[in-house]
Amino acid sequence: MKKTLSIVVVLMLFLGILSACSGQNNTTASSKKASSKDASSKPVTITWAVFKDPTPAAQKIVDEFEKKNPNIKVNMQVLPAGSDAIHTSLVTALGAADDSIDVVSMDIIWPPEFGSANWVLPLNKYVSKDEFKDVLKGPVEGVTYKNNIYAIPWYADAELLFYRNDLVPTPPKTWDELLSQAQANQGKNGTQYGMEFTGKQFEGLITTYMGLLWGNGGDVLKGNKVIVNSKKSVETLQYLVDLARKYKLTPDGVTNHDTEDARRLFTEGKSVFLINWPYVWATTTAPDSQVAGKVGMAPFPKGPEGTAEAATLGGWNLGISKFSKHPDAAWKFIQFATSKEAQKINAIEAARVPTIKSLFTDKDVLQKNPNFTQLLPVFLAAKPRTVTPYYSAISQKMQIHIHNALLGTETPQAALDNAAKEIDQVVNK
Amino acid sequence: MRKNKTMSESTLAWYFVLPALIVILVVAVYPILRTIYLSLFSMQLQFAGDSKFIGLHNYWFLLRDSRFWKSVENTLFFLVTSVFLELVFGILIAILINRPFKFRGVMRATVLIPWAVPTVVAAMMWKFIYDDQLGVLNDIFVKLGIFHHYKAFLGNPTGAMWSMIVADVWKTTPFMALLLLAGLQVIPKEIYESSSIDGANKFQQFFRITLPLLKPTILVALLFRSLDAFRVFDLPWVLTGGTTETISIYAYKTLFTDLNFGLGSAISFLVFIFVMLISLFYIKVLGAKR
Repeated sequence: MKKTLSIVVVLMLFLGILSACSGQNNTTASSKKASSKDASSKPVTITWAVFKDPTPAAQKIVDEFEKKNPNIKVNMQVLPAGSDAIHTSLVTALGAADDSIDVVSMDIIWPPEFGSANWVLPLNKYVSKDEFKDVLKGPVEGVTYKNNIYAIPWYADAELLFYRNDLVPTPPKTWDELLSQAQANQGKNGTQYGMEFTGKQFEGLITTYMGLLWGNGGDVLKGNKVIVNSKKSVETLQYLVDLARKYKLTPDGVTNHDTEDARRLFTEGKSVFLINWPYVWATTTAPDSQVAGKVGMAPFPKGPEGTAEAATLGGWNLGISKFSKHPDAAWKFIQFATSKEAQKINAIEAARVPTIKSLFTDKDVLQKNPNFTQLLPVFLAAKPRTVTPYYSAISQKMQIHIHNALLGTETPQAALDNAAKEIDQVVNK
Repeated sequence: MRKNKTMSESTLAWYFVLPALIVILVVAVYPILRTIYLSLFSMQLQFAGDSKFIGLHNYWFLLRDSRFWKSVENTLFFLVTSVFLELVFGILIAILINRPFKFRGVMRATVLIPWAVPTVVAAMMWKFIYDDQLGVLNDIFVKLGIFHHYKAFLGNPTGAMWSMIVADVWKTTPFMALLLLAGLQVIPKEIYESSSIDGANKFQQFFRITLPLLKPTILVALLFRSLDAFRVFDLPWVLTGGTTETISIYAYKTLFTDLNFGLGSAISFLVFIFVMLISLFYIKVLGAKR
């Protein structure tokens, strides 16, 4: 009797500690709920989960918003550095139904995944597709899945081809031109390599491959059918592998070069061509750059089977967490942060590429970013990577096998056959 | 009343350990059971509602999965090679810093520095050292005339594996040396004195006295290091991100990139089994010699 009594006491003590912790949560949650009911009169605080912005842009957008909406305070919750780390962090929080985040920042490849998981709200009741008339097509496709809009484009990014315009007066339009220009100029004006790209086993390898693949008229999925081992795809991978292994245009270490490794090599003036993201532009004009004034930008060249030039779309988008206690206040913030006014702040303060087309001709924006004129054609051609909730898994299977092809441990055909088999298991199981 | 008091001697002990037991149940046993449970399902986190019970299918899939076996092979090769090298260097360093010499205290502290550096930081540092464009290792080799050109150490699977092993040996040999030093210090000096009177030379002393008496310490050190090496994540993650995929990296990517929690849990549980087998092996060896 006494024994059971003591066990009960110990258990109660233990549970008491637990409930004390959760009790605190409950009270804050309920007070939040109360305040959201009459959001118009009582001040509300919403939390925006966003990466650490090294520029003043994000803070300035928040300040402007708070000035216009004195009843809503925006609290920025800083996410870790790098897209993969942010994904892990958001998945952990949202997967556990954490209600501390209201506005979720998403890389262009996540809206279908987060939407299918019911982690972010469909925004159809706030916005219709007609309102995206002035918005770039790629980002709109990326945030829409099965007729639901899961996020609003905040700013765009696109992988593209950088070239040395002191060596190459007009950028290559086709793969053959790219190959011959790289071969002809390798070694000139201090260059050691004809070509550089991000060949490490990571997402950057896939963005490079996809840009070339679309330029050759190929794709990864057609509906639910896996077409990543089609003739066009194999041809694309063969081309990429040949640049590195047959023509030896890239450094040997390209198979372990990430975005910054590749960027550094190009700004040091060691390569004629580079496939990378627009942020490279600012570094080429920095004081320590060896290539200031010698850099041009263009979409990826076309392959033999391709009809149009392509580029791989990146960029960030804002959505509302399903677990948010203040979805309406969150929407108000998203509406402002993705507006022309806020995108202009982003373009001027942080050189982030707007998703609103008319900003590409805005005088103030162009004065600060004259290169945007060169970027518009690239962004008009930019496509989102396969829009599916399984994107991350699909990409990972491709990373492994495409990387193997670059290492020479699998032939392009075998690599893509294996990738196709594994992707099929993911998509059609 | 009195009878009750004697009974409570042992029950009281139970009450004392009960909080600890509950904590272990909550933070260790529950997650393991939950992982085993999840591993029997087909579960994608983004479609958590569609989870299906599929029995042992995830394990059956892994048995036939070449990527899984490749990651096991990478992990075991890394484990055996790095732990062996660490043991050899660890013994040498331990013997060295066990001898009385000037600045021995400073020396002992200095040897520990690599071990004090967080693994991720050390891995970043080694990534710069191995860099194929600016790396200091290439610079040294070219200046010494060993290479004509800079080499891409991390650019191929073999190079990446050995780069990883070298970095790990640098990082954890001090830990090995420290443990072994503790073992050396309990060996009585008299044994060495009497053996040298008997005419034993240094090699005989090492193989006949030091090594046998050090054996229990070596086994403990090997156990610690093997378990650590089996779970290696930071080094391959920072150095190559996947060229030398280890089992931990496979599990991490399956769980947090693919969001395939069923299969990811199965891999995690197999890691648990492997770790248990390694522990059992050493404990058996340790126990037999005692």
